[in-house]
Amino acid sequence: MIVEDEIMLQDVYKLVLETEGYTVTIADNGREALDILATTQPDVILLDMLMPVMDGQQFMNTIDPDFPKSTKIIVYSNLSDSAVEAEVLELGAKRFILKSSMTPTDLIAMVESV
Amino acid sequence: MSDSKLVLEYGRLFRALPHPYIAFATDDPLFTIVEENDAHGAIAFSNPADTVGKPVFEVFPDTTEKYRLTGESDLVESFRRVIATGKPDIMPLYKYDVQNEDGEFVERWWRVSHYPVFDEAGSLSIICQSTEDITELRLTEQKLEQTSSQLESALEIGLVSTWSWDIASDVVVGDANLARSFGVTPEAAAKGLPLKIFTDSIHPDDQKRVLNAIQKSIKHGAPYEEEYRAINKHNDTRWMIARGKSQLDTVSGNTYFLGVNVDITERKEVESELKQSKTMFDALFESTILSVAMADLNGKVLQANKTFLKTFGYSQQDLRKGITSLNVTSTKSRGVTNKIYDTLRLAREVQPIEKEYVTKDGTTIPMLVGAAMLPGSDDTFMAFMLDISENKELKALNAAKDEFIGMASHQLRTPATVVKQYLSLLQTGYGGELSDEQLLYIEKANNSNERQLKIINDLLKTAQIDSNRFILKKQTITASKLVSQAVNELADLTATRMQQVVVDNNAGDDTVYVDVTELNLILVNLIENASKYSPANTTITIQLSRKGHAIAISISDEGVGIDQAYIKHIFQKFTRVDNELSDTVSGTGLGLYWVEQITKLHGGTIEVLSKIGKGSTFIVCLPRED
Repeated sequence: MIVEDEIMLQDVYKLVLETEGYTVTIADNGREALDILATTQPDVILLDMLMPVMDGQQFMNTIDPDFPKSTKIIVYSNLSDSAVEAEVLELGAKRFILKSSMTPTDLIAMVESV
Repeated sequence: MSDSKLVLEYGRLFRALPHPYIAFATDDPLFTIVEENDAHGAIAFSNPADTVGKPVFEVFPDTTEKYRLTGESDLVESFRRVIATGKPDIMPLYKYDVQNEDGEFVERWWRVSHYPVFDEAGSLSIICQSTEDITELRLTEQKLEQTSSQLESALEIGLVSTWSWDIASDVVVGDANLARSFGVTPEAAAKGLPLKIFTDSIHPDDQKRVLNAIQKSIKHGAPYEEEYRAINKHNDTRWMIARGKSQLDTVSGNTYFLGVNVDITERKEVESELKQSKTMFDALFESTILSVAMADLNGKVLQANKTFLKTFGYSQQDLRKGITSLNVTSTKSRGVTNKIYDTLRLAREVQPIEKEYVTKDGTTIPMLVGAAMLPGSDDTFMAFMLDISENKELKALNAAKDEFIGMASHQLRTPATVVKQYLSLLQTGYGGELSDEQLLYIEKANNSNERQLKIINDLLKTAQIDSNRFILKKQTITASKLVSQAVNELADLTATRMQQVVVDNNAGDDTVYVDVTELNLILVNLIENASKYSPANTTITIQLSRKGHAIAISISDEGVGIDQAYIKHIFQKFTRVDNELSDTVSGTGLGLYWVEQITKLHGGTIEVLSKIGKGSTFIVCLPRED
C-alpha cells in the first residue's frame, strides 16, 4: 500500500512497483489507509508524512502497535527532521528515506530488503 | 587715746584698707604723694615707704601716649579739676602701664577716682585717689568688641541682618545690613524706626502674607519664618528669608520680636535657573515617545519615566522593588546588552543601536536604544529607548515573503521529485532500451533536475531559518571530531585537486554543544569553498584554538581571495562573488548566508579575512562547552 496524497507521485511509484511484480493499493491519506487496513493486509506500507486529513505521524500513532509484524512500514518523506525520523522508527517503522533523494531503484531495493 | 596716737591708728587703718588708695598734696605741678596704702602698693608695684613724700611723677612717670605726644597729662588735668571745682573727678578709663618687679612694663587699665579732702579751714588740702585695676575688664571688653566686629563682618558677608522690634512702642532697631536691604540709613536703623517703614518696602504681593505671619507669631508665641521680596531704594528687589520670635524681656516687661533676615537673592536666581533647566529635563523625561531610564553599570534601574514603565508593563512599586537590565532584556539580546555596557564603560556613550527588549509579560519589543554616562559619574548613565515596532508592517511583509518562498518551494519539490523518478526509470531501462545519445540527454536532464532539487531544498531551509522555525538538534561533540568528519567527507575533492589539508589542533579535547548535521554542513561548505577557490597544489590549513569562552575554527586557503568591495556582502543572500574562478564554481548563493545564520543561532560568530591573490581565512567561533 502506498499512502501518498500527490497524484503524480502515486502514479510513478505504482508504475515502478507494478513493473517489479508487486500489487499496489493506493490511499490518499492516513484515514483512507486505516480504512483499507480494516479489510486488507499489505506486506509493505509506503507511508508519506505530509498529507491532509490525517498525516503520516497521526497514522503511526493511531494504528495498533501490535499491528501484524508481517506488515513493514517504510516512511518516506521530504521532511529532513531527524527528530521525526527517530520518532517514527520508535513507533514501529522499519525504514525512513528522503523522498527527494530517492530513485525508483532505491525504492525497489528498500522494499525488497525489508 | 592721745591725738598723736589717734593719728597713728588712723594712719595704720588707712594703710591696711583693702581697697587701693593713694593721697596727693595739692602742690601743682608736683602733687607730692602724701600717703599710699599697701593695697595700692601691691597693684602699682610700689613701696609706700619709698613713695611717700615724693612728687607723683617721680614715682609714677607719665608714660601715657597722650603725654608723649602732647605733653599733657590726664592725671594732672584731673587733679586740677578737683582743685578748681572742689568736687570729685573720675577718670573711668585711664591707661597707665606699670613696671613690675622684673622691670618689665605691663599693660594696665585703671578706673581712677579723685576725691577732695578739706582741712579745718575748709580749704582743699589733699586729693585722695581711689584706684581700681580694670585691666581684666578692659581686656574682656576689647575681646568682645573684636568678636562683635567679626560677627558684624560675618553677618555682612553672609548678608545676614539682625533686628529687634519693640512691639509696644513699635520701634524696630536693626543693623547696617538691614538698613541696606530696606533702603534706610544705618543710623536711622540703629536708632529705631516704626515697623511700617520696613513692611512698606516689602513687595506688594508678599506684604499681606508677611504681616499676617508676624501677627500670628506674636499671638501664638510660635516662631516666625517667611520668604519675601524687599524693594530697596534703588528699586532692586532682594529676596529675603526672615526668621523671628517674640520674646518677653523680664527686666523691662516689654515684648520684643527678635529676628534674623538672610538675603537669599542669589540663591533665588540660581533656583530659578535650575527650575528652568529642570522644566526642560522634565519635558524630556516625561516624553510619551521615549522610554527614559537612569541606571547604574550593574544594570540596576534607578529611575524611569512613565513611558518606560508603561512600555515594559511595570508599576512604580515594581521600580521601587527593583527592576534590572536583565528583566527587560530578551535572551536574544544578551550579546547586544553586554556590548552596550562595555561601550559605556569605554567610550561613555553609545550611539543608537537596535536591541530587542522584553516586557514583564514576555512580549518582545524591538527598540532603538542610546545611552550616555552622566557627567562626572563613572557609574550612572541615562538611556533612552524608542519603540521601533512600527516597522512591524515591514516585518510582516518580510514574514509573508518568507512564507511564500517556503510554500512555493514546497510545492515545487513534488513535481521536481516526479521528474527525478521518471528520468531514473528511463535511465534504468524501464521504458525500454535507449541509445547512447538518448541516455546522454537523459543524463543532462538528470543533472539539471538534481540542481533544481538542491535549490528548492536550499530555499526551504532559508525560509525556515528566516522565520525562526529552524530547530537545532544539539549534542556534545569534540571540535576536532567535527573538523575531521568534514575533512574526510571532502577527501576525494581535495585529492582530485591535488590540495593538501592540514589540521592544527590546539583545542585538545574541547567540546561544543551543537547541531552536528548543521555544523558539518557549515564546515563542509567552508572547506569546499576553500578547495574550489584555490588552484591545484595549494594547502588548506584548518586551525582549532581556544578563544576565551569559545573555540575558534579557522579555515585558510591560498586561493584567489576576495575583493574588499565584496567582503561585506559575502554573507548576504544570493551573493556570488565575481572572481576568476566563480564561473566554474557552482552554488546557489545561499551557502554563506546559512553558514552565518546557523553559526549565530548557535551563539557563535563568523568572520572573514581575505586578500586578492593571497587567499582567504574564514574563522568560525563557537561557544565552548564547559
